[in-house]
Amino acid sequence: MTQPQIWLSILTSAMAFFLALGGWVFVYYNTNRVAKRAEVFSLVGKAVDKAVALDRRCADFWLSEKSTREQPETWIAGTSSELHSVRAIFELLEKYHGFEGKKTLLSEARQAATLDAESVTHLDIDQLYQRRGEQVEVLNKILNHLYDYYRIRHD
Amino acid sequence: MTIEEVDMKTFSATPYGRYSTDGPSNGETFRTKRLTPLLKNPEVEEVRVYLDSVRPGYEYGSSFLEESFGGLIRVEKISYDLIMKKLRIITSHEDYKLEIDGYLKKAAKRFPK
Repeated sequence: MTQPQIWLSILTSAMAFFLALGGWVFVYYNTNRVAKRAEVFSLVGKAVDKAVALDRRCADFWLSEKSTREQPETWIAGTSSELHSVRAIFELLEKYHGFEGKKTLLSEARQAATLDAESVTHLDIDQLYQRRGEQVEVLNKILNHLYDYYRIRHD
Repeated sequence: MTIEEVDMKTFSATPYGRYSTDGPSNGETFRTKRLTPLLKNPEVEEVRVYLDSVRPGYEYGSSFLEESFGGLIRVEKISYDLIMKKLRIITSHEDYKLEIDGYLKKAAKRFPK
């Protein structure tokens, strides 16, 4: 082999090596990105389901007939449990996927759902609908916040 | 001058409700028995309230938080400035701090000194 042929052979091998390495890096990062996006999608989906369930729970309690309404004590305990699930999902999103706004959403959701739930029987219909309006507003805020977060960070 | 610590578990592992009609571990009782005496005591420089020692997974209800902390201004007539100077809420959950601060600000606005 002549010297140019040796160089050509080395260059060709090096190019093949770097092309393969580049391809591997591209596939690795792309797969990782897709996996992360799927993980976030799943967590956001679960958070949305929980938020909607929480809102439905609020509607059932705050707007139900006095005779069929669940006892405030047990309702608050169940609602707190739902809020805890939402907290757990938000914490995972915050810890691993840069989610922001957890403290505001949680405090507003808790306040809208549970503040004065113990004295629900003393509220008149206007006050009940006002509370329900606040709860719907918080649900919308949570859904919009989650959707914006997903679209901005992972689209 | 002293620093006093109030650990929630010494009051209740599951605090609940606003008034005694809601249950024994209510916000009014917590405020009157635990917080107010310390905040009104001029010898106490700082009051640290530890919220996270409740039962694992337990979430506070808003009525308890409002009555315990908002009531300091609304009922006990302690000034917002004094509360800000002396009260420290210790918790890993920033949402509780935010909510309590909101109740204090709202009460200070509605009941200015």
